[in-house]
Amino acid sequence: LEPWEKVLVDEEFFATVHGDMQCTFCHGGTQSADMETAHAEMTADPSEAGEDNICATCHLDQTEHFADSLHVSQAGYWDRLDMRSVPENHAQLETMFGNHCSSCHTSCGDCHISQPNNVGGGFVDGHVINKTPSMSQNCTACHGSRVGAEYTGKHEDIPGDAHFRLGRMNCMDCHSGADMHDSTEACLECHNTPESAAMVSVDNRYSGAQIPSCESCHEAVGKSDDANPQHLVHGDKLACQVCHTVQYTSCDGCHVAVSEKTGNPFFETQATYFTFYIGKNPDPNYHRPYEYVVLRHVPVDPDSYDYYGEDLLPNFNSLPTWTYATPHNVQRKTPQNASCTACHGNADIFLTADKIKPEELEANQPVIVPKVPALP
Amino acid sequence: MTQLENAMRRNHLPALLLLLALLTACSRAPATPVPAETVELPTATLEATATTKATAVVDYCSDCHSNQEELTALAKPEPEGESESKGVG
Repeated sequence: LEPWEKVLVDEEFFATVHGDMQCTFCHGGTQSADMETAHAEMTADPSEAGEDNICATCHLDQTEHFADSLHVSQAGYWDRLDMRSVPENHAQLETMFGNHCSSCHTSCGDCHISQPNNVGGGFVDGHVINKTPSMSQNCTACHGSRVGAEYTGKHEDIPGDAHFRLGRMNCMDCHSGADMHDSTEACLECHNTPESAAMVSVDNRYSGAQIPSCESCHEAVGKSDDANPQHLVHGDKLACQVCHTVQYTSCDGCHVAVSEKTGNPFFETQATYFTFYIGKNPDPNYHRPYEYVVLRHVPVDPDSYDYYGEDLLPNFNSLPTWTYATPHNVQRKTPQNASCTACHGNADIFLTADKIKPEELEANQPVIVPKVPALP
Repeated sequence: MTQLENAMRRNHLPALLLLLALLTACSRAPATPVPAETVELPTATLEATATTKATAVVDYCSDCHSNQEELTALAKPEPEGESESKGVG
């Protein structure tokens, strides 16, 4: 978008409820014909989480637990950084995080009014406040390189997700607004006593129940009347993606720094490639009891943040670099579910030790498949 | 004047006096509820309304931000230059 285009308010906005209010009600600033005066002390995005979130004035239900949303807290990043680092390094990592990661966090406006800043910002629809975010300009503007590209089938020779190809489903058909606004809301439907509610955590997106789970819609799967015997045979041993996803993106060696020339932060990823590997579940639990899951290589490296200090991730090996993944390219029929032997005994699709870089062997011990499952 | 005319005049005098008294009373009644100040009130109210309306109508923010030509003229160009990032983010 051109600079003027990013801030052009459409006439349609003034016909909406929000358009009835004076701009300064939400944005502050001063009513003045002089641009500098008008913009002084103005807040471009008054919908950031926190006490000053203007949306909370009317939309209390949606914003009450907003700060707990992973989109806002980015707790998933810190969960991983904390585990790989030590407290003494947190100050340097916080600086790194502020420069490179925090621009991905989300305000109400980033989903309902504007494109996120990290893709250039600008109104999606002339400042009209859209109840449903735009899939391309909001969701995949951030979740584009992996989820968006996989889901819409942008990778050559790899089909897009069946839910998109055949059902034309958008992100919001599975990921509800309630889940986006509060990452714990769905958990509390079951964790409805003080004791059980205390068990709910929002450390990262895989730390609790699967929201949504495939079974949310495919209710018959795994039940006694399931017409597909394979679902009953494999039961909770396999995550759904093991049989129903295809190749997806993995990355290596992301390093970050600040440019001496421009002062702008930048990153460099050493490699991006397609994989499909089944590995051991790094954290089997009540909500994800599977023995096998699909694993994606994440681009973390022991010296990813060396620009900010030496050896900032001394506990690098405390987490695998091949991590639990839920690729968004679901298919009913896949190469690995074509027959029993397409999977059983097929070493090509299992993450065995020989496929892992020697320096990452220790970190990945929990997910390495020691022996490719043969036909029983 | 005849005796007859004099007699009629004497008989009507009380009635004329009563009529005069009544007319005097009626003529005082409308004078009481018309104070001069009441007439000026509508003018004062209209002036106040007009002042408030003038303030609300002018919204400099929306006037500018809905005007493509003005925004095009005022928008500061964004710094050019390619991102130094390499690879998939």
